[in-house]
Amino acid sequence: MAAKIILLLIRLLVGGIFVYAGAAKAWETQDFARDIQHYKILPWADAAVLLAVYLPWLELLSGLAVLFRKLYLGGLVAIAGMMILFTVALGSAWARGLDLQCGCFGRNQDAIRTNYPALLTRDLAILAGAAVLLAAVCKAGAKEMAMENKR
Amino acid sequence: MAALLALALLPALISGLIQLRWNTLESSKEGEVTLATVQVLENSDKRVLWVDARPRDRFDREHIPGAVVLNEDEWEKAVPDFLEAWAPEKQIVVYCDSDSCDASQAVARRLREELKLENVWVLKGGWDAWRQR
Repeated sequence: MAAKIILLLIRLLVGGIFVYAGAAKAWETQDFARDIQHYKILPWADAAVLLAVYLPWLELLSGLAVLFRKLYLGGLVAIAGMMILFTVALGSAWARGLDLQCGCFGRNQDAIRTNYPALLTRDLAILAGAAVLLAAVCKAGAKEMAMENKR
Repeated sequence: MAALLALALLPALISGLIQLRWNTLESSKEGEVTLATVQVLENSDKRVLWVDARPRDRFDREHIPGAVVLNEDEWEKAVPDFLEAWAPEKQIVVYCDSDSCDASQAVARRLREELKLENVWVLKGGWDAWRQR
């Protein structure tokens, strides 16, 4: 029972964070594109613009999928994938000594701006949450398969 | 997963079409000037006040000669020193590390909005542009 409550809380937190992050940026495409460009990872500016248009909606829909358990596994995999991407991008920006705004929750909302250890800790915590939820899905799936085999 | 990736395409396309003016991304940066423009100002009778918006440790390490430090982290503390160096006829040029930082834009905005100063510019390329001049 306690495990179920903990999983529910993690699901609400991870899903909620992604819904918020996506909604905050979905209509701030130019600012978000500039934030992405500042990471100096993508080869051309247009790629940053395309990503800035698409990524917030993927975040929003993945968050909703996790919150409402529709396309749940897909939502979790997308969130885990994005978190790995964000963590690598932040880590590389830190390693290159870039002074930038993370762009995670839109403009002027990054209270821990350029504080790389705090930002990375936050990202890793969200990634860990998604991993726990994914593990729970796999465990439930394995249990179901074992019961099917017994029958 | 594939369904989600595809589902996100539709709203992204719609919002993209509504929002984007593809060619305005670079020019939408507010009040940016190139180093060449600032040098023209310096060579004319206009006086320039350099404002370093980077963290103090970076300012202490190296900065543009004559610059004053004014960043968001120690705004209240640094404003009096800035005002001491400022004069109404001076052109204020704010810089941070490079094109990849936002600190200069943020400081320039606060100078315009909170201190009601005019003639506030942001150096395109920041400290990197100065170093490579």
